[in-house]
Amino acid sequence: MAGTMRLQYPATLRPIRVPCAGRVSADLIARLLWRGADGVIVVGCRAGECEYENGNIMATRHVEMVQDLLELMGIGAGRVVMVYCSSAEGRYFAEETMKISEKLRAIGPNPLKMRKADELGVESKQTPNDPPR
Amino acid sequence: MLEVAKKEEIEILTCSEVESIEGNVGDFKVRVRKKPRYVKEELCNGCGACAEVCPVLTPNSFNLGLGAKKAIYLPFPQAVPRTYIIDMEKCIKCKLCEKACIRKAIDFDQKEQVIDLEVGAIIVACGGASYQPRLGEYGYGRYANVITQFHLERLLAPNGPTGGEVVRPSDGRKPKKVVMIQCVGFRNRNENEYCSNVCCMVALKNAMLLKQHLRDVEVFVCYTDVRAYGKGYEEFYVQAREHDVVFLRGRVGEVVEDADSGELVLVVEDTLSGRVLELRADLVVLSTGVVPSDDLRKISEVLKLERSPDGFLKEFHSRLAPTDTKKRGVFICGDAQGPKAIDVCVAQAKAAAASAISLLSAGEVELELTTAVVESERCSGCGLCELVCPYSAITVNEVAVVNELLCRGCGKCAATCPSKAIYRRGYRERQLEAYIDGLLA
Repeated sequence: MAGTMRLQYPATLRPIRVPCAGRVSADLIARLLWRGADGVIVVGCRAGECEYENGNIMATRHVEMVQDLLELMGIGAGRVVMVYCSSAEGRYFAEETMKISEKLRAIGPNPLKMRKADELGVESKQTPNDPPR
Repeated sequence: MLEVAKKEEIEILTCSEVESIEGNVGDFKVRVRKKPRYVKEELCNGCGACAEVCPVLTPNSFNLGLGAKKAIYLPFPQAVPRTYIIDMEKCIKCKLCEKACIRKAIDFDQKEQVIDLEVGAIIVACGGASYQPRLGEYGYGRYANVITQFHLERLLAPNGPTGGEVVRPSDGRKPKKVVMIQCVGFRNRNENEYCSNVCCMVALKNAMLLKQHLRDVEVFVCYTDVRAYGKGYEEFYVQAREHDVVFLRGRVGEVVEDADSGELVLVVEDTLSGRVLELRADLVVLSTGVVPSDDLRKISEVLKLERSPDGFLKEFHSRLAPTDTKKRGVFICGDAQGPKAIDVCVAQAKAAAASAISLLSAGEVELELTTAVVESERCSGCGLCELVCPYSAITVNEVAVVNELLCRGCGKCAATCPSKAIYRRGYRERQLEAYIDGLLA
């Protein structure tokens, strides 16, 4: 909606589409940070509006889990943010993501940026859910 | 209804209640409990000889207590099937009816029946119930001459308890002044927040009928808004005003009975002229509306259907699919989904029937490839996916199994699985990895 309304939101924001915020597991968020993302924003529906009943609640739990972990690791919980927004709220999405982007700029780049597997000369393992060879 | 009864392909089960429904679209198993009428449907021809000899008189619930019926009775004149039924709570078992019935249709030993049906689709059209004003609300239940529009309709009906004569319940005299009060029980936080849709037009119709039945009757309608939104409705409202039905915009404060004259005294503010008026009336008619019925509550539990905040059955989408539900193969229509006028009920009924027909004639259900898939070699049978699924679509015995008819593709199972043994089509870990690769390269 923000796009069709031609509103500005951060150029550094890379959206990943999922059927429901509930699909976003804690390990997915963690993996994004491992792969070098400076921040992860999980956008879910507002309270009571989840089409799949409680996906937004589950997503919140996963986000909180990762935030706790990041605090413990000394990386800072501020890199992972949960946002509640409906798909019709283009303006709100644009404004919130701009605000979060500013905050992340202040926190600085991700200290966890790891080099890719091939740079390290390590063979990348087959990840789960591949079709059988 | 008679046409429906004549069709051989349609089976009407009366005095019946749906007790349980199991299974899924195309394969529902419905258990129906048929209560006894104590009259054999195949033999009774509706002649009424039994009712003539029955000595018991009891209030007629169809006429809302305004008339009497016998212990053996026809529910209402146009009942389908035209079969008598015995109200066992009122029956004194004198068995005079049994002797009077030449077709030997009466059977005091008739038992309850359990009928099991296998059906492919279900349409819930159980309707609504009429709102019962609270005791004392505008004098209802306290003064005999405060009635609802439903009572008025029974008085107006040619086959009603008074043969179509509108009379005051207290003394049988014809009313000279009738005041109708709109929105009783609705559009407020204390009772029902919603607007019941039909009561404005019901009041207009009954006001015009009163003008036809009683010469020189004065009719006042105290309203909040006159909601005449349908085809021909606004024109009808204009016609009512041209026939000297007086419309007062304001809520009635109080209704009391003048013990000397037997009149009812109402206080109402006419907000358009800014004056507070005292109205004296012979008959006060409360325009109440439609509320969810007890049947509706029961069936929503049996079918596990959701209900909207107003208590009616929840449609799948209020604009794009008002007769579908979240349950595949179960459709709703009519007042069960919310109060509405007859033309909309019919349109919804046709829509529900058409949906059921197209579902059944296809013979198969087309699923979108948006469901969850289990890689059983990876599955440890921990059962976490079964717990998080909001649609109870996963069963875990040794390994997890997904019921693709119930799965809606939310992906919560995939997010929860510690072994990544279950994935949501289109959003596998590898696919998301590829996404991330592209974004963070």
